[in-house]
Amino acid sequence: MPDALFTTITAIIMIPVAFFLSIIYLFLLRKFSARFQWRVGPVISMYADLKPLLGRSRILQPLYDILKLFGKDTVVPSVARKTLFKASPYLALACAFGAIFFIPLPGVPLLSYLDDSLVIASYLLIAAVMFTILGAASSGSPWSAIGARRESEIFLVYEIGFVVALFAAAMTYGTLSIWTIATTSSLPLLLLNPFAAVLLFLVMIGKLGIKPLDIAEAETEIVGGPYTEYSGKYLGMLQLTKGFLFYDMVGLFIVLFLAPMFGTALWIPVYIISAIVVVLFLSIVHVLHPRWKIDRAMRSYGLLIAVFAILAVIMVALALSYNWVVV
Amino acid sequence: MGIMAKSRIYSPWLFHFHCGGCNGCDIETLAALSPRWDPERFGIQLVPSPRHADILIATGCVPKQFIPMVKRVYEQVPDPKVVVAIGGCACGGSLFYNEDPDNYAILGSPDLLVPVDVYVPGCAPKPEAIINGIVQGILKLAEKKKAVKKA
Amino acid sequence: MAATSDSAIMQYVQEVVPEGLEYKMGRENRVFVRVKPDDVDKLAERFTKKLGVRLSHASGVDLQQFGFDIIYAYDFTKYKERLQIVLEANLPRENPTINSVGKVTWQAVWAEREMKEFLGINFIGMPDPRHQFLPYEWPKNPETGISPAQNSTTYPVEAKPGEKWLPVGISPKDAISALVPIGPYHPGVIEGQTVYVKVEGEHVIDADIKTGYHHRGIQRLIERRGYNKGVFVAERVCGICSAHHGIAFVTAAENLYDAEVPERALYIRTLLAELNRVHSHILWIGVAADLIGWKTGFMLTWGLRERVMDIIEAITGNRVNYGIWRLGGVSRDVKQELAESSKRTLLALKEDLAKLLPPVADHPILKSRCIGVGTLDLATCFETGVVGPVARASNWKIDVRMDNPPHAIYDPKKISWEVITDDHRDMYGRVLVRVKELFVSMDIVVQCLDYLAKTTGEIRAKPRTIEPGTEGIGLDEAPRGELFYYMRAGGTELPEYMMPEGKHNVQGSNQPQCVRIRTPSYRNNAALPFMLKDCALADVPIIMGSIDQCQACTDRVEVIDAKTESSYSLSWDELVRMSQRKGRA
Repeated sequence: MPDALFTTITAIIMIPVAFFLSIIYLFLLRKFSARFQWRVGPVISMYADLKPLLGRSRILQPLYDILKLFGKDTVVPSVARKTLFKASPYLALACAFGAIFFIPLPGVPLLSYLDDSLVIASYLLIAAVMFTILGAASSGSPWSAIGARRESEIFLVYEIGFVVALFAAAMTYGTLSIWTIATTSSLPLLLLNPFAAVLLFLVMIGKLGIKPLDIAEAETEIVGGPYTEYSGKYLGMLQLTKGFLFYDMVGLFIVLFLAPMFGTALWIPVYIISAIVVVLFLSIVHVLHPRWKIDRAMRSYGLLIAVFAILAVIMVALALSYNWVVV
Repeated sequence: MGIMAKSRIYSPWLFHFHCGGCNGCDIETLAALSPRWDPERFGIQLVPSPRHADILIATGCVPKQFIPMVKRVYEQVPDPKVVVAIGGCACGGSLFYNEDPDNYAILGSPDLLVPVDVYVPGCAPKPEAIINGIVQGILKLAEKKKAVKKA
Repeated sequence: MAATSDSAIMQYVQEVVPEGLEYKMGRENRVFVRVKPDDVDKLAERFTKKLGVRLSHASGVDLQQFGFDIIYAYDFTKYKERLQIVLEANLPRENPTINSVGKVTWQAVWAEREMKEFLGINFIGMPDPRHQFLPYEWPKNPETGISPAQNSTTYPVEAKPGEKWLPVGISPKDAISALVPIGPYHPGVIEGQTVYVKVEGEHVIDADIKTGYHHRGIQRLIERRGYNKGVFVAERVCGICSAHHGIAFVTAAENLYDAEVPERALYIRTLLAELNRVHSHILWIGVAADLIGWKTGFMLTWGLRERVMDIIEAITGNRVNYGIWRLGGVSRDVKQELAESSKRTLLALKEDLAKLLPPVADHPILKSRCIGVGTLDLATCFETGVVGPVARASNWKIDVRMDNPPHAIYDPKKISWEVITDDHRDMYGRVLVRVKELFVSMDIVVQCLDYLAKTTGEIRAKPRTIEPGTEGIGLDEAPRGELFYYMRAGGTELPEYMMPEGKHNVQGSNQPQCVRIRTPSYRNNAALPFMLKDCALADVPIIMGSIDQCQACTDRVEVIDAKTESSYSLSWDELVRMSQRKGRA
């Protein structure tokens, strides 16, 4: 167990790092999608003649979006349940932000060495989505209400997969501590239990609102779903929540399924590359699919989740009975 | 320039604000967002709700039935905001506007109802002109916040 | 152009309409029959139910002190080549009353609602008496609650005291489930309109459409500005299918006199009409992809569309409103080099589209979003009178270019092409029809370009005089379906106070007495509530998209005699709040 001082210092350093990484992930999602759509996307190096007006680079484009939202007026609809409407972005952000301390980087355990860190992280990630739904439901707009309902329906499906995927990892290694999972295994769980990895990837698609499952915020159907009535700083907070969720989910995926790289900080470049690869896969899914209909999604996505969950559990049972894991 | 002021210039979000008209400017506005021009390079994005928008892209002459909606949508956009009028109709009513006898169905250009900051004439203006209009709108947006701060 | 002789046509018309008071033969087999107002619904019953012909349009003309002329245009191409029968009935100015055709066929309902609100004509037995273009609450007359145009008290549109107005076809009492207004501003539909859908959860149990936000008084403007300037106004009815509006306008105007349009001009018209269809269909595929949440599809198709726009820009100089239509021809020629380079661009584009579109049409999620969505069977199709790709996707083979072409170029001997139909009867069928039509149109464009590259010639004939009182019909197949223009030359029996002293009462003028436009979206929108019933809320935008709505088209206008001002209309937020309240109750 690392000492308290080291944990405190790394946790403080972690805040800007995680913030920066979540901005980068959002940027990469936009950039990759744009490239698949024959577009350029936010430019990495600005054209020489536009530099004085438009800045050197747009790698931080999501950051500019969020900052701009914080600089704008905030409109609160008169029909909203005001307290809940205003409080839920803060709470959602707090949950998604809190979860970053349970996602380790190579050589930096943070709070993930705690015995039940996996449980705490999963609760925080569930709560972040819950508060988004609450805020939308209290906004008084029919579009937000429908969006909240859709979100909660799809939430019920992917949360089952989320829990199964996390506990597949936990059961295989016999621990609920993320850091123990990350450091003790010699073989990545991706190879040991690929079904659980696919399961978590599917959950990520649902949780991050990647394309076939962005049902909750379907722009052309229900305007913006949960985000319809939010503006200004509340919208900025929700965007930030999304960014942190992105970081959390990608980090969780890497830490659980590409484990052996976590011994020393020298592995950080590999960590970054694997994160980019995960985002790349997410953006491929994002550009390839139209949006699912909610009833169809419940059926097909639910079926997918169920099948992979069962397969993942079977793999866990096999791994445990044949002692594939060298702890 | 602080990072907040910069971010205001770097991230203009558009709301497509159709005030009645022939659709020509609307498809040209959408064409301006298509891969050939791709304004997402500079962070320009189309948003679904007026509450998220910075720049209103107003197209078309305003039929009288649209008056309350036009006012309402403008009010829903949080400050600072800029209205860019696209097309001849949005600049001055164009051929739909008729004096003596006046056209019973048309009020005229949207600037009779909401303050318009940038005018892009043409029937319909080319996507390049529309993007230029949006850029002018962005510059006005930066000025507007300064004015608010001073006041 | 007419294959059968005039006398044979006239004999046939007299057989079909023995009640006629006066028969007038127009050019190109258009027959105008004056009938008694009482016979109109009997004739409609015979035509639509027995003979199975379509009602193209119904409209009214304000003749000042001579009362109103109500016209009903029927499409008889099924029986005789290019035959259009127009029934005309004159109503007195005081208390104009006529039997409703809307109770016989749904095709006339919207037209009658329009005439009722604008001209004040009472239709006896009208199935749907609400306002069509004006707000339901119009006008705000606190004393009577009745509009000057509505001197009938049979169907009060005002709410009873103590009753909250719920502007839909659903009674407030049974609006237990949430009533969701889609529009006037909704990201799925650019233009202003309101589609009220009554939902239970995600399930739509009833739907209604309110149009009219785009009412711009265009027909009135054209009448004021005359033939030569009017063509530019006509183009601006709709910016997407502007070429077809231009062609239909000039065809209608050329139908008023013996026009001899040079063949080269006709080829250029065909070329631009088909290029317009190509760009419009690509645009539609992109918008439909966006409506089901597929941004990639939108970006890819709109990226390809720019190449069509380049060709159009090179030929006409404009991207949206071409402005090259003239009576008796076109104003710009297509040079040989331009034709050849355009052909190369187009063939390359065709190859790319052929690579892109088939895998798109086979995408499993796209299929799941489209198959079985927004079904419309053939009987409903005929009853509501939908046109264009919507009708063709329900396996109804109607295409103006084949049945009643605007000019001779669509003759299969000159250009080889075919009408595409599909029997999916749903959203997916509409996708397939449009994709296939896209390729057919591109073939037509290539053939036109070949002709234009090889030959030279005149592109515009000299204008002639238009006799007062002649009537003409212009038809064209716009990307969304049949486009109908009815025109009556001005100067016929003008009231005396408008005439110079001592002159005969009839005088020609450069202005048409009336122009009536019936756009395809007008018909397809009327069928929308039938498609929306029993679908999921997520399907509403794509069903609305599947008919390729064009509100700018729909809300072009009827003549209005009272000076009006819409005084009150519900705003989006008020509607939202109202629906919320109903939802909670």
